[in-house]
Amino acid sequence: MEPLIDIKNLCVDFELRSGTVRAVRDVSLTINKGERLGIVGESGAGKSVLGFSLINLISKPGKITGGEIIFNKQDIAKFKYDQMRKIRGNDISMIFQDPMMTLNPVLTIGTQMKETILAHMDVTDKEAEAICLDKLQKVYIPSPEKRLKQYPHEFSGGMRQRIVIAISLLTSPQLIIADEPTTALDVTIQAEIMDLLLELCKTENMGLILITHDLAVVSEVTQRIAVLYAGKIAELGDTEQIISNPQHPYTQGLLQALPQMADGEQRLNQIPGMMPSLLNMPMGCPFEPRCSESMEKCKTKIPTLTTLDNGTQVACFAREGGK
Amino acid sequence: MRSKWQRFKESYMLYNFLRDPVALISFTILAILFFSAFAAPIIAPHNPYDSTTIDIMDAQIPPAWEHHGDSKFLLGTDAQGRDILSTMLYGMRVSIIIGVGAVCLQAFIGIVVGLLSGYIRRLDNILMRIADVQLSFSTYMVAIFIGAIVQTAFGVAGYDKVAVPLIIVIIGLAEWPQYARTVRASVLAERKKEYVEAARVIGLSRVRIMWRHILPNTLSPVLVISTVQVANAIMSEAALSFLGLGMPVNKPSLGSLITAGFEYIFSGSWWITIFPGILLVTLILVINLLGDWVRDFLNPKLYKG
Repeated sequence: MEPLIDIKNLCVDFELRSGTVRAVRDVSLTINKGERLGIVGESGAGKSVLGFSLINLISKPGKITGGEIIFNKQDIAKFKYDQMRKIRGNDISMIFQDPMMTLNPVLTIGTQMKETILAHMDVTDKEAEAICLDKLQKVYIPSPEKRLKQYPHEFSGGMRQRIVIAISLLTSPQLIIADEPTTALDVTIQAEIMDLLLELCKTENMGLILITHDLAVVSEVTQRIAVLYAGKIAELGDTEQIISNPQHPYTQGLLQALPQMADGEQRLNQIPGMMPSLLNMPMGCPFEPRCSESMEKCKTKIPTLTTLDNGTQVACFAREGGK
Repeated sequence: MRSKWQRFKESYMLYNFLRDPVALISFTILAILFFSAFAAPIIAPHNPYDSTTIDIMDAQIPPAWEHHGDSKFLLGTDAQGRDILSTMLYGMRVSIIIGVGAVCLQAFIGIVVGLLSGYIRRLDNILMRIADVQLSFSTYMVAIFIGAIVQTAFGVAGYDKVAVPLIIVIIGLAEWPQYARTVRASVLAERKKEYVEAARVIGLSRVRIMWRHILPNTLSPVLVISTVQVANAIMSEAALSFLGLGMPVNKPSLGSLITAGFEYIFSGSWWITIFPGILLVTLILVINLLGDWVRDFLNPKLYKG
């Protein structure tokens, strides 16, 4: 498989008055062409920051402080704003959480779509409109000619998210980063949108990074999962392996915390404690204070990713030496 | 597809407007005033700029319904024998041109500065401090200063020619910080919204994001202050003219008409001052009332159901 984007030892820091927040710490990931990767973790684990750093769009005071992001043989982590503009929305596009907010309320859908095309491709207005219509059909928007002239408030939430997806498809990107694309939608629409994304990734052979905290969504759509905890990868491997046979105590906790309909009325399982403040990390493994399998070693040393027999990579001393 | 006109006919704006008698009456009066001002060369009974038609013997004739009134001059004549009604129409035209022109200039400078300082944070401090400095000079001080310099530089004859653009520039320069501050405040609120983030993700340039995405979302407060500012600019011009720093007497605005008549008010020729005064007050009042309606309409918090 040919790698599409190769992240090597990426570090993202936020310089605050109260200290340096290390939001992403030493993350290495490779996404192949046409591959679908899920990034899961709880709030504040650094999922979104990781996503934004891939298009080099971290808002101040955040900064990429180390590592490389190799895309098309170039290290885009070092690109300037104007160099990056050629890649954003063109080769890599992004879908946001809330479709109510991501469309400009005062411009028609057509204007916003054409704008994206004209920013990246050398086409006439007519050709741009044809591309828009084509992509709107791909996301199953009925009577697209009419819809192009309408404003965002004339669409429902699910439709808007489909339009956002259509906008991200306009330039036929190689990679789409979807940052919790279904969180703001209700459950039936969620399934519809995820099916649509999956279908489009398959037909257009696009890579997908799905950032979410919803393990159910990830297990349906992605081929691989990276579990992020406190800015570090805790576990990385095939979706099936991770869902059926989680290795890291954190991943196990996450899966146990899923509500089970069949078991009747029960209290939800939860992982005790909270994620440590990113300002003062424990010396050892960041998960150690909450971990049920904590050892002496975990308090002082940080585990690194090791590959197990089934191909899963896990950062945990308890799993070292394999199973 | 419905046409623009149909959309407008069905819009809530028109519905609200037609059910607000104050707005409706204000708009009607304003429309009549604007029309008569710009149609002045056609509808005015005399041409006050044409010195050959003016007879000094007609000076200070009272309005037609008064004793000694002349039906040729409905509202009487001024000290030079010019018909008050015609001069008022021509004068209102000058006042409106100056008011609207000055507001366009203010809006242009203010919007550019406001966008830049709201979106590009590095420029914020310097641009807003410049605005503060500008605001610390009053309009009249700036006007007196520049007006005096230009009058000495061009001489009185030259000044007559540049008076209109000069006053537009003076009032425009003196009041732009109002716009800059309003626009900046809106931009600061808008720039954090996700559609701006999305526009950056798409890879649009900064200029395009500012102009196409942020600016249209900040326009409603701009529209509201514009109405107030037009009224303010007309008043500033009238005040300047009243002080003798605005429009010269041979090309009068409403303000200079009021001054010209002011000298005669105690000798009984009240009409020279009173009629332009009433017209000025009416003009400002309807613009402000209309502005109030626009503000209420654009502010959803003030909807009364």
